[in-house]
Amino acid sequence: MLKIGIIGCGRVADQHVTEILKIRNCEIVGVCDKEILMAKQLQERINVGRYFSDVDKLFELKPDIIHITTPPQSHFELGKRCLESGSSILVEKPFTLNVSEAKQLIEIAEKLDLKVTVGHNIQFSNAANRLRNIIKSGYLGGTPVHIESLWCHEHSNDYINDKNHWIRFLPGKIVHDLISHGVAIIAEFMNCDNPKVVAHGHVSPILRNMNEESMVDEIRVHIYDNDNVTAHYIFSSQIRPIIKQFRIFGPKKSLIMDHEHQTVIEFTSNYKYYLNHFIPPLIDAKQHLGNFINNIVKFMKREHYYEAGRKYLIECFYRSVADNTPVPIPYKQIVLTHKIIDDIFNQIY
Amino acid sequence: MEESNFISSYNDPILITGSNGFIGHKVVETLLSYGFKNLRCFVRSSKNISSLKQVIAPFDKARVEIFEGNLLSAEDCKKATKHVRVLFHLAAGTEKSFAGCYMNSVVTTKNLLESILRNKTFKRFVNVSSITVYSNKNLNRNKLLDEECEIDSNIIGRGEAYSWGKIMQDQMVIDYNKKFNIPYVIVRPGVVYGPGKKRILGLVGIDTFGFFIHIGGSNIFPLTYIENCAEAIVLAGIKKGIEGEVFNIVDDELPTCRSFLKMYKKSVGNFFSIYMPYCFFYFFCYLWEKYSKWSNGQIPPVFNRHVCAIGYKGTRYTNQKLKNLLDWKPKVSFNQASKKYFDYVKNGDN
Repeated sequence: MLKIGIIGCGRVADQHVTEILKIRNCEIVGVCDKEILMAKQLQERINVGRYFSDVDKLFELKPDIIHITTPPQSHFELGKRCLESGSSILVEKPFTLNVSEAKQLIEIAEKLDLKVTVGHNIQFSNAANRLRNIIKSGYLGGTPVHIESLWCHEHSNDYINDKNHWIRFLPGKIVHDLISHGVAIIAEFMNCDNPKVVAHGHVSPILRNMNEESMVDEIRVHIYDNDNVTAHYIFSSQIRPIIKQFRIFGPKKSLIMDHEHQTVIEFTSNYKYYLNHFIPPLIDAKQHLGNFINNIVKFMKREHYYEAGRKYLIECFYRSVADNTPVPIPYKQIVLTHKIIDDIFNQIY
Repeated sequence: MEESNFISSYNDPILITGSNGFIGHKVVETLLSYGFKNLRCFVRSSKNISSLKQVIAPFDKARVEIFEGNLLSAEDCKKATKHVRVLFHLAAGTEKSFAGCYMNSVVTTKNLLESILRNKTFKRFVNVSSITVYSNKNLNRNKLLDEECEIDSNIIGRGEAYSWGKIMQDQMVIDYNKKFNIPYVIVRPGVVYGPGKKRILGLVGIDTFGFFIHIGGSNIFPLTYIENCAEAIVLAGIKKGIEGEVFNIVDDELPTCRSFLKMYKKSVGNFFSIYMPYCFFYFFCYLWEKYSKWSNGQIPPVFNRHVCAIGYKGTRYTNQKLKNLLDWKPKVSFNQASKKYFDYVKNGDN
């Protein structure tokens, strides 16, 4: 039975706890928040374990894994303390504030024979897992030629109305808390160490109208490495409808995944002459129907829900800790994600 | 109004949290119109304070300070409550998550209560709660729901984070009174309506599935018009001799859900709706609840029998205690109030 601890008892902790409670062979032994009332309310609602405002008290329970669901500014320091106290860690995204902190945490974990991962739950949604399996089967016909990740976002009153919100003090401000989902999936398939990053950012009219000219919320990034793999990352708070899409283009075939609709569609091959106007739309329609049926079947099997990716990630991480098997997100990918993010923010701020 | 009937004088400092909110700015206006001259209006951000500024503008002789801060900051609370005599606490968490509601309703309330512990001149903490905190489990259909009714003990099962936050907030205020003798009054408004708030039909029915399902039928719709509600809150903050009391706030001449919907459609514009009797909706909620449980939360248990009973079982409401202890009576009649409200929904602010 794995012993689980939680540090940070806000709304993200609720999402983690809901999924943890569905996983077998683990129990939450303690929850901790610097505001004791927050720790108490979470413990009382889930009615398991104990609650604390002091992390050292949580460490005394010797959790195997601690979820860190605090604002990102504290991830590195808390992560380090958890690892040094003997617990593996699952850190909510963004993993750390910069790549240097990410590397340090990973080094500490490796030295202590512990494990770390980051809460990139969307990377493990049903559609993302399906995409990963198709690519693993060699569908693209070789190394990806180009990757595109588009992430749209609608601003929240939380940080707009609060000039002291923690999100405003992140190196990448508003975007920093959201960027890693879209970048991580690029990092997963780029498979290189030190890509070049060219980033451009500007303030959307939406923010300008709110007199928030110091925060960039429109980002366009070109990423390329020496093996000629290129990637585009787009973050937008203006594009409607909200689109969260990932496209990967191979030398033979290409794929498109829609995070919002949970679909994976193959780019249809071309046909001769007018057939090209009639056959591909039919094939595309058949593919959409296939996705519809797949989602319905998964729904009937109770496997298709909003936080399915989070449960999958947590379960995989717990298994890797329990059985000492590889972690679900390779460390190289965490470092690469943060390297790209650092490069983006260094250029736009 | 006679100052001698009040617990504070017109020049005593009064703090209003959530003062730029839908109810908050009307509370400020009512206090100013009563003659109170020293108000501190706590706002989270100075960006959305146009309605607050508008109500303050005519009272140029009053000293109204707009205090920008965060109630989660103990330091901000300490500064905001300095020398304050009466505190109207209207700010609250309205998010969907339990943790979010708790943080913005309970932790903030604790910070305020802590900050007034050393304030020897403090007279009253007015905690603005909600009528949704009650349970009608042991009330038969169409029985009276008043201040003596039990508080919902299975509020988490109801899945309503806001109401849960409010119950916890009320409890925090009562606990501080027991431990530190901080005087308080709790007010629990019904459905507050008026210009500035468009969506109020939750107790009439639901529009989750793309069209309006009318469930309320002949149930009484517990409305309170914004100006009437604000006045009741103000009186609860300043009247002598009501320490530790709880007041539910609803207007007179309450319409049924069916008649309100009819008036709404006639005045604002027609839309498609179908009527679903309570027993059918209850059965639907039962099925939804069962599926939610069976599927391990694949669909959230937003429709459940508990919510159904609270919202649509049918209850009568009273404002007798408000009238008896506060000498309150609704200044704006239902006819005038509904006309103003429907005009607003139809035409907006213009």
